[in-house]
Amino acid sequence: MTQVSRRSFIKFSMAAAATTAGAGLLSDQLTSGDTTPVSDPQLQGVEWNKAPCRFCGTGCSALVGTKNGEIVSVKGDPESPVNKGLLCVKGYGLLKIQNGDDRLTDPLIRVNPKGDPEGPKYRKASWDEALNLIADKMKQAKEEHGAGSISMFGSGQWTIWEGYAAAKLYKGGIGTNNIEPNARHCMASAVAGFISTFGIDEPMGCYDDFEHANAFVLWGANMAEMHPMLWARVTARRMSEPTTQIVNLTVANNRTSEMSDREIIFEPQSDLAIANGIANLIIQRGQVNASFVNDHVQFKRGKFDIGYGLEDNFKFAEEASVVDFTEYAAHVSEYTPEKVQEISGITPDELSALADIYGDPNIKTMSLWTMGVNQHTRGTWMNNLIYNLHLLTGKIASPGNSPFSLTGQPSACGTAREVGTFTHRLPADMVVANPEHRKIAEEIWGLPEGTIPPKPGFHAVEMIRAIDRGEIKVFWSQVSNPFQDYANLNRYRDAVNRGDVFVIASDAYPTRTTELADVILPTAMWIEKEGAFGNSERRTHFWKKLTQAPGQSKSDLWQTIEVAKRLGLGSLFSYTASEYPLIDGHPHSDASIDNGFYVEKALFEEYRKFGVGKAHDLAPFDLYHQTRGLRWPVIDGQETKWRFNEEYDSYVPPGTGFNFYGNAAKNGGKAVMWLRRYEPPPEMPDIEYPLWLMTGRVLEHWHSGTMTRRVPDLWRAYPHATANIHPRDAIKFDIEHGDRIKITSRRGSVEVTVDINGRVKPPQGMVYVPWFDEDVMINDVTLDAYCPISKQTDFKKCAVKVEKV
Amino acid sequence: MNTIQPSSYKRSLVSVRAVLLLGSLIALMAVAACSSDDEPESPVPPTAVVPAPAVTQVTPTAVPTVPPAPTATTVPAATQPPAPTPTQDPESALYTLELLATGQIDPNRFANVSPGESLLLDRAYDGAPPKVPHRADDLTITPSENSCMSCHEYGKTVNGGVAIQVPISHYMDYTTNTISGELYGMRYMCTACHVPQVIDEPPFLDK
Repeated sequence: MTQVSRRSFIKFSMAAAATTAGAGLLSDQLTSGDTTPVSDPQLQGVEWNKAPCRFCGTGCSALVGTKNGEIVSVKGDPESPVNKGLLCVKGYGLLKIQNGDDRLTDPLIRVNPKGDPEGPKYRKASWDEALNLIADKMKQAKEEHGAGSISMFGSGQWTIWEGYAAAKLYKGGIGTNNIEPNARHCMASAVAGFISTFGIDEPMGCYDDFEHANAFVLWGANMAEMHPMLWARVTARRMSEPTTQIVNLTVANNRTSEMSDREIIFEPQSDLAIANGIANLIIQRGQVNASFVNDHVQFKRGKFDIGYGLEDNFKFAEEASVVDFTEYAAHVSEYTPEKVQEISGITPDELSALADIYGDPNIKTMSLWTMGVNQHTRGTWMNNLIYNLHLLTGKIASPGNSPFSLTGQPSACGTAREVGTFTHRLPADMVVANPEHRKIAEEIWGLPEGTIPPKPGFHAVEMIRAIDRGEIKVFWSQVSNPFQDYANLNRYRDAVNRGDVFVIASDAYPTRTTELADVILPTAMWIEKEGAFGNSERRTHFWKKLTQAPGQSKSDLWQTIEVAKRLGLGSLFSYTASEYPLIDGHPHSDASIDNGFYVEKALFEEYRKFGVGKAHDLAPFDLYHQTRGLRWPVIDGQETKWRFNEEYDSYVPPGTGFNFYGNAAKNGGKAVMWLRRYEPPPEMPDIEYPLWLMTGRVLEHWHSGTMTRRVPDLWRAYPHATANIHPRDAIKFDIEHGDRIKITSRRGSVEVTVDINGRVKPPQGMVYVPWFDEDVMINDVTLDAYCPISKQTDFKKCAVKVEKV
Repeated sequence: MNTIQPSSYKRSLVSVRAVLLLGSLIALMAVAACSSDDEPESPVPPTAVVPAPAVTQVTPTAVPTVPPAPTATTVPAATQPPAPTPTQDPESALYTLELLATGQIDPNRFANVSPGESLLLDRAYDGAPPKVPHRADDLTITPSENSCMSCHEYGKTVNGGVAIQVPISHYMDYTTNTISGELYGMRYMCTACHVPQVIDEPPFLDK
């Protein structure tokens, strides 16, 4: 941008002056409460409200314009501290996500047997009939097979109260911990990393770090496509501070590489070796922050050779022992630059450049990662290893020095993690296996002691395997699309078609999951209900109901409560109208209106009790409707930007500087540096299956495309999944650009069109296919190996062959 | 570092592009003559004038009345694929033929025209970002060069004509409420909001 001409500069100066002159007028408009820019007649009478974006974990705020009950406009919210007035192309697509022509509007009950080659057939039903059928099936399953035969697969896209109500129903009502979010596929390794290193979940830093950092190291995160508005902030930092460095550590060239100062391509799985190699160089160069390590770090060795979770009923238990720095240094000393090169393919110079960044105390460094690190059979280890680099140098929990785990889904943090909708968890980082924690939950929920089962149920992968084994009789999916998103999908789709599991799918549109369902529940989405999400930086943010869902559609919250009533568990949700009255003029949701009290507020205020005073403090309900969200812990209305740092976090004991208080009971508040090593992935390319398959997303589509493919502008921007492959591999396998090819693994195959040098440009030996396309079921091919600690599937690595069709 | 070797496909594309670019600027000017510079979604940040309010009703943002933008003429979108036919533009035909000859038509069939040869597309709605009506897969945005800006920069003329110009809102920093001579950094990645379209794709539900 150095080429800005004098001519254009003069133009801008004039414009700036004029804008300032116009500010007074704007101010009047804002304070008058009228909502519409007078200059745009089409938007006269439009009412504007804030709503968090429906898609990724960034948590942008949108301004949603409605008129006569219809959504008419969407724009970036300039008051949002997250996206500062901008949205990505998906955000602009929000306008049309609710209005697809095939929106489900009635409960549907299947009338032909599953597995019928004719495909599923449904008839319309009343809500009463559908809900009674569900309740009957649940009662029957519990009677004949026990509560453990009932399960639910939810979402990091659940609103906070939807996830809370579902967890309460299953754990405190039905009597099983068989509830999991799709966030198991997405963030479980991040959670396990936080808990094992810091004893408390979620990032210590926040998005303000973007404006403080001098270096950004991306570990397998294509932020330019997957977190576009956060990438915009990185870009802004890079352009305003030219000394800023961006390093894209990746297994394939991608759009993020364009803005990066250095791209380093490594072999899949070898990030484990690279992270240890950087630590080794930091120690060799004497750049360890000894006082920080002495005061705030404990070293531990865990198990090696931990397996891959490929077998049914796989079990893992960590065995940890405390070690000292010397032992740690000896462990990483094996990872010499030469050894790292041998494993990863990156040169000693590249490794040295990374060590230059992490080792220099004056370079404020942000590490950023998402699915590349988390969807990894050693995902927990990789999270640990990145924290090691920041702990070794003391570059953590202060502005700009920030290991930052980016979240995939809009409320993976707010709902899946904070509410604790995983099988082993309870709200506020508590777990079902801990009797004290169960007791706290039972007290808050007003349940007799011993109600909550003490053992975790099935985690997500084991839950779907249990369907295949005939152990699950009822499976309810909300806000997710499991029969497109699980790996090794052939096995599990066959299991549903063959077995006697009763599948309930709550969705707004037909999907690969609804086509396997016995009952389909038409579901209100996003601004058709009152909602709350929690984003990557611990920001809890709310929205109001702004439009009416079509037909008979009802929210997931309404559905959960109605099923509870029919199971005789209505008392779980029987709050009083005197305590939580409906508010005149407030656009209440179906759940509140039908229950006669403000159900979202009742649930949230009850949920808050879990975290207040325990470093998970949320603000009172009403405050969130008045702000663009707040980052917890919220103490006396004040959010916390940097946790574990005395200067910013009131939970840190005075005089300690830093305190990792999540581990207070275990080791007095020290972070744990784990000795983790490189171990190979379970399946690698060989003679028969010579290529890596990597899967992922594209900018324009959200997850399985259920919403975004129905937005014409997004559909036409990227209608079909393609296979990206290196030109040399194309020659090698006799494939041309535009050919249809078959990609085959040991588990299944899929047909797809080849795009040579597409947006992702894999190195030789790899093919990339995004998973959004229901006509390219790439998860028929992927491998359901998972991290034994986090139980998160590795969707990024398996071996395949390709052939022209 | 493992770098991707440019494929012969890529090279042929680049060379064809280079030849075509000059000629196609004529078409660009024709389009630009009826282009609009409206940016109805561009909000002026209220943060600097109004303290961040604790509001239940979100206040809207207005479009700056400056600069005196060109008349916001709506250009009808191409209802048909805008790929020029050989009779209209022999060079474009060559470009398409070259791809056909090597079997290298884009599998997603993005508008198969180079910058400057295309017609405007309708926006998704008033306030939605304009779409990219030309191929953009070989344009890059790096810290030192933003390919989009080489034609679309505010006030830029290309061979005497103007392409669709980046509106002045894109030069405003919301955090400071100032306009500078450089794109607001958060706007630098044009491709986050502005995406090409596959013109002749039937609607999703027709599949």
